[in-house]
Amino acid sequence: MPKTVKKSNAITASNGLFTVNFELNGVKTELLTKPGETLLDLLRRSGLRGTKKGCDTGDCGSCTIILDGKTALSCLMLAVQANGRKVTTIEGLGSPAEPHPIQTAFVQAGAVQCGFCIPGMILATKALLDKNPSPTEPEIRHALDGNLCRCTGYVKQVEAVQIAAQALKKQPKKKGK
Amino acid sequence: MHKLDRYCLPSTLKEAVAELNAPGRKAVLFGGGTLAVKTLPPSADTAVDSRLLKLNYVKTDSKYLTIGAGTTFTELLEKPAVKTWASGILHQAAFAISSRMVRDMGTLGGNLVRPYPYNHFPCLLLALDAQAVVAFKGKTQTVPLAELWSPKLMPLLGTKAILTEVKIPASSKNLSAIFEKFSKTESMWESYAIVTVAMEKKAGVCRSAAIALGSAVPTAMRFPKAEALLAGKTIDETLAEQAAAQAAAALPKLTQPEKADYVRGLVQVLVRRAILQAFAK
Repeated sequence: MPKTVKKSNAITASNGLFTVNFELNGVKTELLTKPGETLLDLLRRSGLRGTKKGCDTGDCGSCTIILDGKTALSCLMLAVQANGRKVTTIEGLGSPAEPHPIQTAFVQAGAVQCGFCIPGMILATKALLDKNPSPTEPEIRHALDGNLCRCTGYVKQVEAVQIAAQALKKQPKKKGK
Repeated sequence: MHKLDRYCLPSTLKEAVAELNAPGRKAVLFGGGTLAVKTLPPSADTAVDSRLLKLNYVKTDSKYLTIGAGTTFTELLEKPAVKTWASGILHQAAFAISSRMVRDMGTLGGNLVRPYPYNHFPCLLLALDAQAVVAFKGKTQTVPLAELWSPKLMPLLGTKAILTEVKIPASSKNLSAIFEKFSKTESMWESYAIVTVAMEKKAGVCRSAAIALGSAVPTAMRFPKAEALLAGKTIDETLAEQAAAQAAAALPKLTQPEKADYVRGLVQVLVRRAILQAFAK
């Protein structure tokens, strides 16, 4: 096992690998990462493939995660930068059996076509609604402007965010969801 | 193949500068990381993450609006002082940063020290006569913003030295200002030209004006001769056109030389329009 050296707030790679300790979808997690590996690649290599690899240059938003409460592009982050932080991926939101209200709203509005952009869009929606529970349409469009969708004209997604906002207002708050 | 074998999170500036200057090591500073990750030199062996340095702040006093280099664009958008300063152009420029995730991750410091012509803030802050504060080898130094891009300082930023904050003179608070970016789509990072005009007016006269250009030129620049044409005058279409023509004529090497005629014409139109709009505000 590589050794984590915590001197001056530093992590040193051992045998060419860093050990990253972070909170992943509410669970304390320790993963090994190669130098230069992005958080996106680490997540997908670890089986969390809901985070999509699209452009890999920070343009499409399909790799969006929530990092310490704010959206982040996991393709533009080294995995080691996640050390000590809270990461939420689409797998942390809901499940097929018990979807998150935002996921339900996207289905209800017919906002999902091929689905590739949707995990990122749902996480961007979550970050928006956590901060602003009653966004206007321009605010929704600005909050989703980093999530490109090749299938739709974004009308249904905007509608889905509005439905989700209403649904979340009616729900008692769940910690971390 | 990356050689990275050390990732550190210094909590003080002194510690961060020491990490960057550690003998026998090649370190790279990470701010928001949106540009650093994809351009990480294969020879870099240390990543110095600046997120615990507490460089995300906006402060005002009688002399300056001071913005920490680690302030993200989203944080800038949330600050009341930024909303109204110089006709709100700082807010407008942060709002127009390519996407929500980049606004959440990217920092003002990264926008200034990464030498990409398309960044919004070099041109904007040049027009507001901003100064940069740089920490290097145990001391901090305040320099005019344009010096950041000098061959002497530029190679040191993020590898040996750290941009800590930007100071915008209080005299720019009530300037009549215009920020205009011309690109294929609103959210595109790449653009043809970014123009900032900041003007001090009194009794229907332009007392002084700053005209700055980004994107069309590799490094943001001012146009002193065009600015001098406007000082002390009442601006009309003819004068604005003269100043814009002066600016277009002063353009050096372009970012897209293959589109030189188009870009020169475009800059002239944008500058004229921005001068007229700033004067009419």
